[in-house]
Amino acid sequence: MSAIDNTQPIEPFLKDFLASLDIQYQSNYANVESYATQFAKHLKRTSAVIVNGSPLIPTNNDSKLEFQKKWLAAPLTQHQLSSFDCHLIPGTGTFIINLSCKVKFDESGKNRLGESADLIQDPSVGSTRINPRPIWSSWFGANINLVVDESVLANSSAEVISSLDYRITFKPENSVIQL
Amino acid sequence: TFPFGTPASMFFQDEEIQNMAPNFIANYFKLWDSNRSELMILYQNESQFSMQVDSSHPHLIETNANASYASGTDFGYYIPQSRNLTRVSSAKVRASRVATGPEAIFKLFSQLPKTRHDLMTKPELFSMESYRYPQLGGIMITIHGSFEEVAQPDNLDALNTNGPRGRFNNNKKKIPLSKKSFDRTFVVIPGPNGGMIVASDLLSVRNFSGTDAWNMSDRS
Repeated sequence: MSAIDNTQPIEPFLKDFLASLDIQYQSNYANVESYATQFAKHLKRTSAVIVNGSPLIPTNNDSKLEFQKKWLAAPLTQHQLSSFDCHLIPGTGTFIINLSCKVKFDESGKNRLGESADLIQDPSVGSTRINPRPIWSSWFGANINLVVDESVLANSSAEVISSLDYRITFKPENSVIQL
Repeated sequence: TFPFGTPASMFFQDEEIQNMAPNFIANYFKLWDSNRSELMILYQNESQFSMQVDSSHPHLIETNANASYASGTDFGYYIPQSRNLTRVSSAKVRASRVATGPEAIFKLFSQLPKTRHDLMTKPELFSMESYRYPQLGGIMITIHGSFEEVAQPDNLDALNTNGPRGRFNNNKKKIPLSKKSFDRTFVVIPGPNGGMIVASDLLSVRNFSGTDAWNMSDRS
């Protein structure tokens, strides 16, 4: 095995990937679609996606779009990479990456578009024109496994992820978030 | 709520995998706990193994903590070989902490504490996903869970040679054994005579944490 280290660009790629899951909706997006398609933009159209042991089964859309639609309906998140390791599998042109991270969720009851499911709004909250800020949960733990094309070394923003397995490994007792 | 369907502790992409993966894991950990040298037939010259420590992973704070690890989990046996690439920056060290081929892999195995995984008696402690890896014609098996450390490693070389010289040689303090949680991902390909080969094996060791994240029965 050569001593050349080809894993250096992986860390920025992973951070970029996690950051794409955490993007906040702002008015500078022309529409919801242009916002949602930013999530996990490194996924391939046909990626295999598993979240907490449930596979994403694409119906009308490809699996990338399906993931983005679901992610849009989830509470706002914040991910922090804490560890990763990877192997380049000879002859496949792919890396396998095992990473662990911390993640916290917005517990304000709103989705990523700032909408809540409460039909009757508390007027004392609604009338204040203060920009609502996320109310962060405690840290959850997550373990993520990715299969990523070797081409990530050259271009880390392209569609390079062919499988994503996202598993929450620790849930704090005090969180109202249901998995 | 998290709109991704009900979490499941086990996922298998199809029936063939469902027949194979749990068996593989059960046999693997039986030998991992009893005699790691018998696992070496699963590894070939291009097989890779490495281990990473994530000491900052969220976990339960032990309330009834036993004095020896009340101040946090001791990862002393793992740190010298940890390939947490967010913490190891030198290219040489990054490369040296992957074991390639059976000989190097066995050496690294013998530097990890002896363990007990209660896979058979307490399957609820574990969760697992298994699915195909088309580029390789193989499958990926990922298992999450915890284990008990039952004895110090067979091989203590890493402890005695790494780090500041003499630091561990003169220090007879024993590293306490404890429960740990882990995530481990195997890439398994079909081998000769219906056997199996582990192409890649990634182990992540972290603080012990419960299983609430995947055990629905725990929830009110």
